[in-house]
Amino acid sequence: MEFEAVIGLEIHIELNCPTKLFCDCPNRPGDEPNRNTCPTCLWFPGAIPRLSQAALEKAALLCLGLGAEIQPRNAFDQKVYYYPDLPKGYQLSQAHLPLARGGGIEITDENGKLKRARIHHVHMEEDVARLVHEIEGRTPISLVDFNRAGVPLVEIVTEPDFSTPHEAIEFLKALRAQVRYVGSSECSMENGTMRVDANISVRPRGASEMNTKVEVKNMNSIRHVGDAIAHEIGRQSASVQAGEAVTLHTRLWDPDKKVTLPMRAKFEGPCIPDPTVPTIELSREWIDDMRSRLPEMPATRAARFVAQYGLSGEEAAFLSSDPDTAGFFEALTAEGIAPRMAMHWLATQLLPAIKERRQELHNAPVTPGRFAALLRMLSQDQINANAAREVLLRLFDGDQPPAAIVDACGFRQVSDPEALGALIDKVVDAEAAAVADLRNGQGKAMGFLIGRVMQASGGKANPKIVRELLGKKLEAIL
Amino acid sequence: MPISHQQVTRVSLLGRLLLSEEETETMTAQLGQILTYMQLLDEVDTDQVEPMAHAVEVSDVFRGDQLAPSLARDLALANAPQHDGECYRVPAVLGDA
Ligand SMILES: [Zn+2]
Repeated sequence: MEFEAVIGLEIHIELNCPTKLFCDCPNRPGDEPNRNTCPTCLWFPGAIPRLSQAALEKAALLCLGLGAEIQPRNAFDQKVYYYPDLPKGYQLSQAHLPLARGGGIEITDENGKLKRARIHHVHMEEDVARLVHEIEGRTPISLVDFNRAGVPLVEIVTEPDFSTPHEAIEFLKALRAQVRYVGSSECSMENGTMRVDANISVRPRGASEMNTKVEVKNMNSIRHVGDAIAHEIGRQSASVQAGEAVTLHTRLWDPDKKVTLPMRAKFEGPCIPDPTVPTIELSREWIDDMRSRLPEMPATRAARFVAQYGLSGEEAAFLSSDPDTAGFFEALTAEGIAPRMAMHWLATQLLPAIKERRQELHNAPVTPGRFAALLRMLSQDQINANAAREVLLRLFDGDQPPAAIVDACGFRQVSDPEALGALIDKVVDAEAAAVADLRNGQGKAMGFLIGRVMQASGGKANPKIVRELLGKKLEAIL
Repeated sequence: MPISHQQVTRVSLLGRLLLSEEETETMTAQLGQILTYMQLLDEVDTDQVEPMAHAVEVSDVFRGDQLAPSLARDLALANAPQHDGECYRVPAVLGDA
């Protein structure tokens, strides 16, 4: 029997506003444990939650970027469950009247075909405390850190529109790019600012009914999401093949063993309307104002890059997938660097160098101005490509202008015809055999002679001018 | 009966209430009576009534994102039955990451 998978995603994204969702504590869950707490986010009885305006705006921008429809009236509910990460017994979440419904992202399937992955709804909620499980002697205990309690989250729930790991990965990459563009979150799965749960079921290919789904959690990179889905499809297909029923439950991805393992169910209770947070009524004007704040989104920007700079679709998509990269590229072109050169040097030299140093493009010591100054020297033949690569690495060590580094290292190319002419004369005299080969029609010898001149110049000769002068010289003597 | 024995068992589990078999029987009967009484509401025609989202007719109470000092950690931990100076210590709940 051949199976197909039905996959839906639930994505939690931590919003990057300064305070928590309902109190004035800093939204910095990574600080020293329990430094960022107050009666509201320790969930003391009687504390009144007050909604952060910035969180609402960042959440709304995120929704509008995804083409979701902001609901004119939304409200918070109490999602009841009992667990030490939530001592008040309920999480404030929007179960009945979410912030937005609908929307979606265009993705390409394995065959390059466009497909729309739809979003069911987007809601806001507060994060819960972080638990660290330890064994003291023989007694297992949990340590609770409330820095994360009350941190603003949005949850994006998709329709079950994915059928392969590839499609889920494509969606997550596009989602991450879009959310970064609107500036609502860094969306790093590694740092926990984006967390993905996948609901997966399998059915005989072509069947229309949905089978029991299994929820998979605990993936900490987009690649792991793909691996976990692939593993789970295989596991469920095998058990259905063997005549076993799939039961509704939650599994955890084990990245070391590359398997999903069942986890004990948390008992989840009902969702009841919360009486403390007033409803949120959003006017048409407010929504339009938010929409007017949307930046140019990645797909639009990529299309513009193709039209405006003559880049290929793939290059444009690469550059526009991250707002910092796209901005850096445009800053280079604004400095007069040719688009192709800017694209090439950014993608193959600068970005790998920054990644290697674990830095970020937006605050790396190599600014667009310094990088452009370097590329300008290259395009004006003042230095060659090897020297440019060398200087780039040195740009990370200080704030010297590239020209100063070029001079200090003696990288400046020799283009002076007189100096190069003298070198060429010497080489032609010394390499009579090669000149004879050329006379006999062996073109290869030309490259050899250019190499000799370059060598004689200590690598600093401008190869274009050497070729030109050498050609003239040989024409005269052959 | 508008509520089953099984449902009461589940609700008591969610509420972390330990009920004896006898108590479960009593609760099933009593909750059943309450729910039966509330079924009176089904007689009202609510087709034209917009569902209520909140008991108070106030909306849009927002807070500007001004950071305010958090509690000192020793103060935050002061009332905890157990802590290690950094975190609250609680009995482990196993089977979760
Ligand atoms: Zn707080």
